[in-house]
Amino acid sequence: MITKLAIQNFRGLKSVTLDHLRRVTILVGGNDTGKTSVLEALTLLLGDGAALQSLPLAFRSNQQTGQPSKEHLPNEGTRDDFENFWLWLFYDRDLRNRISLIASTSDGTQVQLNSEERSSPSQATVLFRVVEAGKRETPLIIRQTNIETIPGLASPPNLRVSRLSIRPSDPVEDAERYNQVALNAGGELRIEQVMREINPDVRRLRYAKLPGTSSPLVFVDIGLSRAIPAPQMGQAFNRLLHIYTEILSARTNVLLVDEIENGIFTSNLLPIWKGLLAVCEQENVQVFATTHSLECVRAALAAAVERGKDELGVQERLSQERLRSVRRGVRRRGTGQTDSGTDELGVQRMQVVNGQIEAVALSQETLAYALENNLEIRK
Amino acid sequence: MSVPQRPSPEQLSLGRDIRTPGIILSEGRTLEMFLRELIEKDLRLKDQVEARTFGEKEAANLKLFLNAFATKAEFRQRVRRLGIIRDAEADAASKAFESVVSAIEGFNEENPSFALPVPDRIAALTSVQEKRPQVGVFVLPDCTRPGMLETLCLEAIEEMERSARAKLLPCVNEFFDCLSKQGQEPANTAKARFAGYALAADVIDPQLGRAAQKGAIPWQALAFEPLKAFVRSIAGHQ
Repeated sequence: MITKLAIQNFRGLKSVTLDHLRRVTILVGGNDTGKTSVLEALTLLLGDGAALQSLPLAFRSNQQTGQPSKEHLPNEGTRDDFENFWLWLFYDRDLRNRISLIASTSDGTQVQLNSEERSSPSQATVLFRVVEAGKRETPLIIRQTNIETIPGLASPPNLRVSRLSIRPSDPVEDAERYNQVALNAGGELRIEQVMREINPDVRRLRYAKLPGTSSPLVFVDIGLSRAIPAPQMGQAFNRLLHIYTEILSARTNVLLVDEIENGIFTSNLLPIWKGLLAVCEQENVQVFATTHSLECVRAALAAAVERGKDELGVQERLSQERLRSVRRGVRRRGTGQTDSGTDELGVQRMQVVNGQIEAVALSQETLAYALENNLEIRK
Repeated sequence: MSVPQRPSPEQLSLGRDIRTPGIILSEGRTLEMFLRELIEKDLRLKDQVEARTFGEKEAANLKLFLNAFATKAEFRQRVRRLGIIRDAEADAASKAFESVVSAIEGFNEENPSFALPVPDRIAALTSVQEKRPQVGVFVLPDCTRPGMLETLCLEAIEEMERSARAKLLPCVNEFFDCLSKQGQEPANTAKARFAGYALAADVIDPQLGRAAQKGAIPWQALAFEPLKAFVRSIAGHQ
């Protein structure tokens, strides 16, 4: 698990360190404070060839296209992306500002990515990755008018990264992924177990294509006379099914989600967080998610503290009383060691101080304290 | 229809905009009110220093408050000097000082990028460092003896009554001595004696913070000088 991320000269981040990273890290902050840049930094640092190639479109919608035109080689980006995206990876769009990304992990290892200008043979700037001491690989070469990604590039061991789309998922794709996962030993049971976080009535999930229909779907047995097509089960259920099949089918270790609250009704946030935390623990996945929503942070905190106790109703909103009990719960769990590393949730607040962006780590206990006291934690 | 709850002093302390380069964090609302009167009415330094409470005495409160407050962008941008004032209570001042130091160290552990300088002496500010506020700790009543704000105020009142025609404090002391002979001891002698004095002085409200607002504190007493010197230093006036 990544415990610390140090970023230098990357996009708008001159020098930022994210300390005390947790299994689930929520990035909050005002606009243009670098939340999405952190996700991009992680993609660059941990992504495989395909992840790097699609980086211009991964979190930003303002690119014309991520696909190269006919005159480009498959592993080259377009001129538009080159001018409007890749060059802007460098602080102040200046390639002389050397990018440095360093992730420290809980097992004491580090993954680094640095940029280096080369005067020969073709005036290129190279981004190289160091996963093991002395072993360098080159994920990206920036030439004078284009970039080149390395197609066969793999993620560092045990740090396979994937990105979750904020768009509504395609139920047929989810079904295919479910089928792929369900065929693995114990796969069905693992998915059913976590889907019960959303709906305790779930008995079984089935991949099926009904006679006369064109596409397969996941069907859910909740004890009625017939299994229900998953798209009929509501947004939270489908969102979590999408997340879980994505994590399992891609064998993800690090999941990146931009604007996680997007398209989710407030009352669904709590069960989604409870399910997500369960998945992360079960599959040993680390999540980095951005949000602008305070309700989303409150729900994540409540889920982190109370998950498993089944005390909260799905519709319940966090009241002041509830926050106080959450805080007491955090203290009980922490047994006075409030930042003991057992907390599974942390918030990183990105903020601007004297023109420079910095990251503040808020532990579960501090978060509960701040929310209890109505502190605006996002700025 | 639910009645909106009044925000707690901690909520107000955390939520108020930071406008001064000096901030004093006090233990409890009473001390906060007292310091605000001192700063505004006597020292006239309200543009340089402001008092806020970090909550009542509880081991984790100061560290939690610092976690939430001293990491705010406006704190990091504006605050140049941070003072922390608390009571010694029954212990020696050094023990209260150590507890504040331990809270600062706990904050630094959780926030290594924004670590606050750790003071090594009571009532002395840490040295000037780039991008870090100076930090100082004052322990009431006078950074040496056990006691609290009420102890200091009673000493100030006693000092002023030495040259006054009407002396109320001996009457108050006599009253409590009489109670003591009857086996009736107040839970907190200093607080009870101050409340007795405030009532005798016709301040009506015996709570020290509000008594200060009603003008019952003799700010000119020399007993307040060490505290005033500390507040001035947080305001940037040595």
